[in-house]
Amino acid sequence: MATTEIGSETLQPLADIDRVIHEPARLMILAYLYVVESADFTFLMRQTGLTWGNLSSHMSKLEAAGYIEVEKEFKGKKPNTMLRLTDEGRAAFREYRQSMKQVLDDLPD
Amino acid sequence: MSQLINLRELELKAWKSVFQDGLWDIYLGLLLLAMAVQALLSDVGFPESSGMAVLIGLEVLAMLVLWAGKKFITVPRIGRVKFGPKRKTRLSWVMVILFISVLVGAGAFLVASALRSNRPEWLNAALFLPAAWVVNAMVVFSLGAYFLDFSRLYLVGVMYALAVPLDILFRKFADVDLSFVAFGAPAAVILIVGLVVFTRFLRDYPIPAEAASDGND
Repeated sequence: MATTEIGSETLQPLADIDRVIHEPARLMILAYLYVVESADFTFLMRQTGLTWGNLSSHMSKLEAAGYIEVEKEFKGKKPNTMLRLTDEGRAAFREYRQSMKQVLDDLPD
Repeated sequence: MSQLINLRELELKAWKSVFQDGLWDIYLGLLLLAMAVQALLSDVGFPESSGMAVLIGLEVLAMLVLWAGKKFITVPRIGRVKFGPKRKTRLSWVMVILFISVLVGAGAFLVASALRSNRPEWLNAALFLPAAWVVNAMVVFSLGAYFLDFSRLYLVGVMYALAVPLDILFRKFADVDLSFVAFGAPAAVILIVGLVVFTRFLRDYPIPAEAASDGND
């Protein structure tokens, strides 16, 4: 059963994977926010291809986890909401990338 | 994971969305068209000062088209984004290049003026200013295309560079003053490309109903 033991060790980091980030839609949102300084709802919707409702629901979860922060500002008289990664969110995303890379790289062919 | 999510490509895709509306092409096409209009006014005998006033007026109008287009058409459709320090640095480089380009243009004009009275034997003064125009346009737009990751700027550079040599060719071989056509034709090419991109943008990106109803969120 040596193979199983090696497999367990190899896949152990998977158990520690951040499940808030691991969901594909949230991963996509975080990836976009990781590469820009901030973006509004419309921009993220266009880039990710998510619907307004879907994006809104994932945003709430990411905000609750402390990974994104919402900045309310006014452009003239119109309200504009900019979203950005918090330092915690940026660190969590970086850690997630490293963990996943390690898991996938360590998998035997 | 780096193979599954290529962050560099993701950032580039987000960045390129800034130029997918064709408004920069339209703006640059209008600037060249303004020069064509000025040439036409000069051909029909308008005083130079009035021609310059029209040129400045048209360039301000082109800037207004760009500003209003971004504010009222593009941003409501694709949203607002602020890019990170790397992009800001590249944008600063473009500003520096534009500043140097203006200095080079002004310098070339002064040198050409000086050469009229005191020209070395080996230099063809009539070709000095056109050559400076071509090199300046090609270098500036190519560097802009590189630093902005905006490949259509290479075409814009070629079109700008073509205008003055075309003008010279018309005078030399057709013996007619067709400056309006020499500047207008390349301007039309840039404008047509811009309008095609802009039309496709409007078709592909309607205003999201939610954004239209409550501002943003």
